[in-house]
Amino acid sequence: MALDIHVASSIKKAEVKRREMAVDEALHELIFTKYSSIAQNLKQLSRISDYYGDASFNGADVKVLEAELRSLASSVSEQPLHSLLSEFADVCVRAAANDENVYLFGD
Amino acid sequence: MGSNPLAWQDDFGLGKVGAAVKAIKWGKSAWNHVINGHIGKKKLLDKTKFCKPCQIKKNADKTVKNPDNVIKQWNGNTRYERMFEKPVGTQGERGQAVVVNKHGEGVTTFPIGNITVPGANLGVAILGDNFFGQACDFFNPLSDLQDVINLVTGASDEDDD
Repeated sequence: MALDIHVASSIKKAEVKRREMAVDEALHELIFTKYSSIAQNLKQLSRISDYYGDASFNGADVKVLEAELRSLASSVSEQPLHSLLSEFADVCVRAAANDENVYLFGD
Repeated sequence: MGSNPLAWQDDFGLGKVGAAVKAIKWGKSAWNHVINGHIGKKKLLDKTKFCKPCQIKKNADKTVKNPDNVIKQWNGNTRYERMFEKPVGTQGERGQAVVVNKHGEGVTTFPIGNITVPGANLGVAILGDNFFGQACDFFNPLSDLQDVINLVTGASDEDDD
């Protein structure tokens, strides 16, 4: 059970691919509880506040999301959360480089 | 009167609490989410899959009525978990998780392998996977003895590997 991150050029292609990475539920909760004052001001990141929901980031939104993830990563004190945010930002970089979108699928 | 089992009256209706729990309401969007993610073998292959789709709602109701584990979530949702006798998932998962919002509507449901241990995920997330092992070492006199031996012989912990 996880919030899975996929990269593809369309949602249909994303659904049939394997995930790039998964977001741990406890770390997700940490973002929107302990760091809620920061996260709620990050427009793209706040779109994934529902752990069981789906979200998609296209075009310029992917680059904004990457910048927001890096910004939050620089503020957190927990190493596992920092690693997760950095890994997610790296996925966004790869997606943007290939003109692909980022899709999140919740359980 | 109140303590007499023959003439007992249930003024507050507490005896009917279990029976009064109705079936979970599933909105179209939430139910489509469950079907899209947790049924079928062609899409979202990293998700756990139900082996009998026709049993999902029935087992979800059973889970909420008689759960093995209940977790109140930070956003107001409640997650119920229950282990069944027979597998509900295609990989042999015997558990089902049901997430319900504060209005009692179904958010999602999916097969799970095990019941969630309360606080375990957050502990591992914050302290790391090896925290328990390090804590045991701290209190274990044998590990202290090993440290002394290492100090005398000039060996390090990594030499043991």
